[in-house]
Amino acid sequence: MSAILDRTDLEKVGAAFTTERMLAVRDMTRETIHEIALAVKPGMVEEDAVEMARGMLAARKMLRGWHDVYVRFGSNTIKTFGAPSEPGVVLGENDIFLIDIGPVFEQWEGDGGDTFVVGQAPEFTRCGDDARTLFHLVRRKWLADKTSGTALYKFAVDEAAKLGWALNMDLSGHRISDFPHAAVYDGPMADVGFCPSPLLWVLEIHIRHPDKPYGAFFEDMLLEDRYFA
Amino acid sequence: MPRTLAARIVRIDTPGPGVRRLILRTGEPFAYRPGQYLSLRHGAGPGRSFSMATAPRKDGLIELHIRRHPGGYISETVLDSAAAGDPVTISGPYGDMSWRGATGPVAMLATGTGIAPIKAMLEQALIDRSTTQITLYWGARTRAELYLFDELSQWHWRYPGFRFAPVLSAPGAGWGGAVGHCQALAAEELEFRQVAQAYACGNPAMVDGARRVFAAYGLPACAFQADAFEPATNLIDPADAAFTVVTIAIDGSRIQARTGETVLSAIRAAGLPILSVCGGRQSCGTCLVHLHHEATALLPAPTARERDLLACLPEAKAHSRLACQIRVSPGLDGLQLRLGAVSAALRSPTPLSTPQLQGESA
Repeated sequence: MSAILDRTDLEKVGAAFTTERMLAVRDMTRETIHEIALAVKPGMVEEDAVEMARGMLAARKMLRGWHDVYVRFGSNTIKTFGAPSEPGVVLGENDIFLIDIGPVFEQWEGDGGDTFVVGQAPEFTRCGDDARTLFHLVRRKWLADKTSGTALYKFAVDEAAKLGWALNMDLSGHRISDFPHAAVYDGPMADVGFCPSPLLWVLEIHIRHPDKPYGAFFEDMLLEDRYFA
Repeated sequence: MPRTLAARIVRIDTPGPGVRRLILRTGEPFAYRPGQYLSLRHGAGPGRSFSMATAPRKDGLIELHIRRHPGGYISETVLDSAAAGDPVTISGPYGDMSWRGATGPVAMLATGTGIAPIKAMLEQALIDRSTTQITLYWGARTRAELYLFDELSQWHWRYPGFRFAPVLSAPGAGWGGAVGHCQALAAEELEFRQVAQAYACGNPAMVDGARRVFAAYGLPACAFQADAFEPATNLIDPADAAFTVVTIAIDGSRIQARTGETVLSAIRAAGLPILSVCGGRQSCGTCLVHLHHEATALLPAPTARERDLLACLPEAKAHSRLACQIRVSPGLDGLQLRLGAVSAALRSPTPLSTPQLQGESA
């Protein structure tokens, strides 16, 4: 498909796009993820956590999102993008949960995700840490080798396997822009045969244990090292 | 991410008894992974799901294999009268089953037109020059039903890592191949043929049987991918049979909508431009529509969630709603509405530009 996915077309932006606004909304998105995570407590039902997250986004004038708000607990962390969670899952004392939000602030899209662990759960902690590790490993590969989207995700699959995880290719990166990016390109970054430009794409890493029902997610904008200090 | 696209029929032919091959061309690229499926609609009719039968092609054409079912809306009613050039609407891609590279020997099992997504994944493996051993078990009652028999037999001899194992349950005289069911043959061969990944597509009994066979063999559940044809059925379901059609005016254009579907899906089925970035989850607000004020009383009140989102949309007024949340009912016959600004802009899009990126290093 890469032959027909032309960089010039796929990396276009709308009239509202500015570097400053995109980075500002990225910061707001990441702050909100951590604010939601701090408010999630053991004993909470997943559906209540989602409603709470929606309230926090509304308070920041970011309730509008280009995708739904996901807070997934325990075994629901292996659900792929868009798949409904098993209902009524309660966060345990030693448990894992992930957050994935794609808020729109005024005319600019944010998108981010992260994984958190409550209590003492070394397996879960390693999973969450490895999702972040893989994100930066893949990002640095992009930075160092100017790797294509397709090659980046082949690399990600291999590196995930080395760490003992399966990578979910349903979540394989996408465009981000002034709203809505879908008007330019709503396909996966893993389908593009060119090196994605910074600021215009997000890199998604969703891993799961090969046999056990848990996984972890990390997602952020594809940017250089200085933005991850 | 799933999207809805207009397409046209390029060709329809009959590769085997009771099977039609439909070739489609879309106006825009339709990205998918081999193994996934799409939903095909014709006019205001119901959507039906079919798997893509090839790896993504350089010419962008989409190939579907459609088994004829008596009374099937697409497989009989539509395709009996369809011709090259006819417009259709596709949405997708959908489905978790896809070729993701091989970590060891692979078994693929198919019955009937379940061969379509299996063939797409097999093509991708061959395009990727995969060196792994792949065995394809394709089951049918008779040799004639194995409508890709010649092509797959050629691949068997051309590609060193690929083995084609056809299986017939009711063979005629002269058949020298395996007899029985493909999952049973795969089970027999597991004694001497290692498998690291398995894929199954076709009738649910075969898929269930294959799942049990590979679980007993010790294959991890995540290494078994399947697409039972229940969600891809061509048969008319009772809900489809019960619908009635009402007329809705969108910015002055009159369209037909089926009761039970959403206004969003009716607008899309009519080929009018409307965005729904979040896929009908009350998140993005791009499917905003403005009703004639008298029409608001015809609709159930918005849920708290829809109301919260409408409150965030600067363009939303007292009579605005989300098209994804309006369910068509007989009382909405004659409904008039205007598309919101985001969707209306699709008719005269704002020019896009190439960004000037600061600190670009990649």
